[in-house]
Amino acid sequence: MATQPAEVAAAAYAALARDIEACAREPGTTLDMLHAVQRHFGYLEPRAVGMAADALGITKAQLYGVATFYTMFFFEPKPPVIARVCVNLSCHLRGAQEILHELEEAARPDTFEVEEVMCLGLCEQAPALLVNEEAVGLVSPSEALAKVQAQVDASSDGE
Amino acid sequence: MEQVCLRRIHNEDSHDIETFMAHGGYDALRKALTEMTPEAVHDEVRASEMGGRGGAGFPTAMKWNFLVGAKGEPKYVLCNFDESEPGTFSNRIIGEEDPHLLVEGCALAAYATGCSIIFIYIRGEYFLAHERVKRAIEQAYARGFLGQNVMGTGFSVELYLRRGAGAYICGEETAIMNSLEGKRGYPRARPPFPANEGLFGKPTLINNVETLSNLPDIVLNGGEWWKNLGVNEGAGLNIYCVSGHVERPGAYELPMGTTARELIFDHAGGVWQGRELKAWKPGGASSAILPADMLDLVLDFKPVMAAGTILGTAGVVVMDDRTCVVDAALRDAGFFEEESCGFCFPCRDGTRVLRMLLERVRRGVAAPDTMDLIEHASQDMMGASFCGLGQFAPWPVVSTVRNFPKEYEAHVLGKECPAGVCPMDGAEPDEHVDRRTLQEMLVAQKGKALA
Ligand SMILES: Cc1cc2nc3c(=O)[nH]c(=O)nc-3n(C[C@H](O)[C@H](O)[C@H](O)COP(=O)(O)O)c2cc1C
Ligand code: SF4
Ligand code: FES
Repeated sequence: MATQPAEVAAAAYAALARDIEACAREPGTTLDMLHAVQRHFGYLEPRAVGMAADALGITKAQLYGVATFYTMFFFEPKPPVIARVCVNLSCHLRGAQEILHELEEAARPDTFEVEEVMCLGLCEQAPALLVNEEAVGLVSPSEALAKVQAQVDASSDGE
Repeated sequence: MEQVCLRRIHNEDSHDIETFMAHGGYDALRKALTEMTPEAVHDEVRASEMGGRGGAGFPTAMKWNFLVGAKGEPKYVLCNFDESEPGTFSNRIIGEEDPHLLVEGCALAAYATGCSIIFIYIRGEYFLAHERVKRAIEQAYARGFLGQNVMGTGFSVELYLRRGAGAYICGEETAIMNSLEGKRGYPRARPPFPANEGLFGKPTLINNVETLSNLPDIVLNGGEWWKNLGVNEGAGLNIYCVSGHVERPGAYELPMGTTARELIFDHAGGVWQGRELKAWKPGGASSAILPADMLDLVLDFKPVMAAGTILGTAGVVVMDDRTCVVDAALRDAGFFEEESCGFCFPCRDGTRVLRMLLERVRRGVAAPDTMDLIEHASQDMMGASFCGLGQFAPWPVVSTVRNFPKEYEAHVLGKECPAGVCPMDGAEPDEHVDRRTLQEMLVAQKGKALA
């Protein structure tokens, strides 16, 4: 996503501008604006962060200061798919380490990235992970990998 | 068996307003707005004797009292949907399967406490629940259950949905307010309390998703009715989340006061694969790791506290006889180290020290006085941490030292993991326990220096 053609990028900035405008009409939307940036660019793209900061009436540095507190934001371009694997107790007891291992072996910079994360609130489906926005649970390592692969395939179809 | 919050979740399209209304949805709001004063709603909640489901069990009606007397406009209801305590997923199920129940509960709380604006703060990782709650809010506005002049009664309320972005601390009642205000999610000093100076400096009622979702039934059937659903002196129903080594992990809405044995064996199908139970936790990562002989514990706020730990979010985790408690404690320790916000040193350094001590135990390179070090560091953290995260973070660790001393002796002195789980490879962990930090902490409390 780092090397977007100019018109794609322009469209993304325009769409983001509309989202920011909608957010700016309501109170307490700082994180929602940052989510919008990440939705359109895959990470907190600096110029886009600047647009959000302007709308909030704060500096870009201040907004980065807020953003770095939270774990869901990325500060550099990422592969199209992120697999967030829970490594907390309930998932650990049911094989989280094996899933982590299987995915880490297969991850590549152009396909997907694996993140160890804290409890996803999917403990009854342990071992659990989030594949982009999809909750996946009660899976073997190979099933987990298949779910990730399916999203990787879907993302390259979409391009 | 009677169900309140989870009664509708198996209906087809349970999250849709049509299904919700076909099963009595928004009847309670209509009843409250047309037949009851705000005080009358408050009275029913008082009669219910409900304790908040966010972890502390604070009496809901009493918290509401603080709002009624508070000065400042507008007043806010803040629904805490940050649910990030490991082992806990009841709020997620309500949000995904019965989001209108939550919307109705929020509106009732606002009416009863004189609030005109509601915020729901949902953790960023709950994508589906966010989607469903968002749609529920749109539907509720479209049908006139939210907004100006609700159902023509003159009552007006706005509801905003906001997403978090990955930070357990933002479930703490003041950190969540900083987060909503667009700041880093550090906790605030109390006083001032949220009821007087909360969100944007205004009076704020903060309640958990499950607390609010019980309100419609309390209004419809009466607080007394709800209260009587409990057993063993417990009030009402409670959603117990069960995970780990059980046959049927899941959310079980049962009488408050159910024992751990009933929950794990009668409802969750017992320990999986025919294994024996070795250890369990009553209430998420922040609670102690308990031995099997405490299974008859009544799972209600007071009895669990009397047993030396907390019911918390009632996220029960079950561990079978192949589990190593050191390894289990290390998972919780890793969680708290990761989630410490770094604002105060007893927690910022203490969570790290505890995790590193356990890492050394697991490698078979722990010093012989490790159990004492864990005990001292834990007490420092409990006494000196700024907020609940650091105060409760040592519990899963120190409880294993106290409840399973033989396991520690085997690891530390015998250089052996009885369960065969820990690597015990004699390798020095990459990072060293920060002896200076640890020493400072110990000196501060005990006046005792490390050798
Ligand atoms: C570190 C920490 C995290 C917390 N996380 C949550 C949470 O995710 N959800 C929640 O409802 N309460 C959480 N709480 C408790 C809240 O501070 C607060 O007590 C609760 O939301 C009040 O609602 P209740 O009265 O309905 O229980 C947390 C507390 C601490 C100290
Ligand atoms: S106790 Fe931990 S989470 Fe709480 S303020 Fe201190 S460092 Fe932050
Ligand atoms: S412990 Fe893994 S989802 Fe909760």
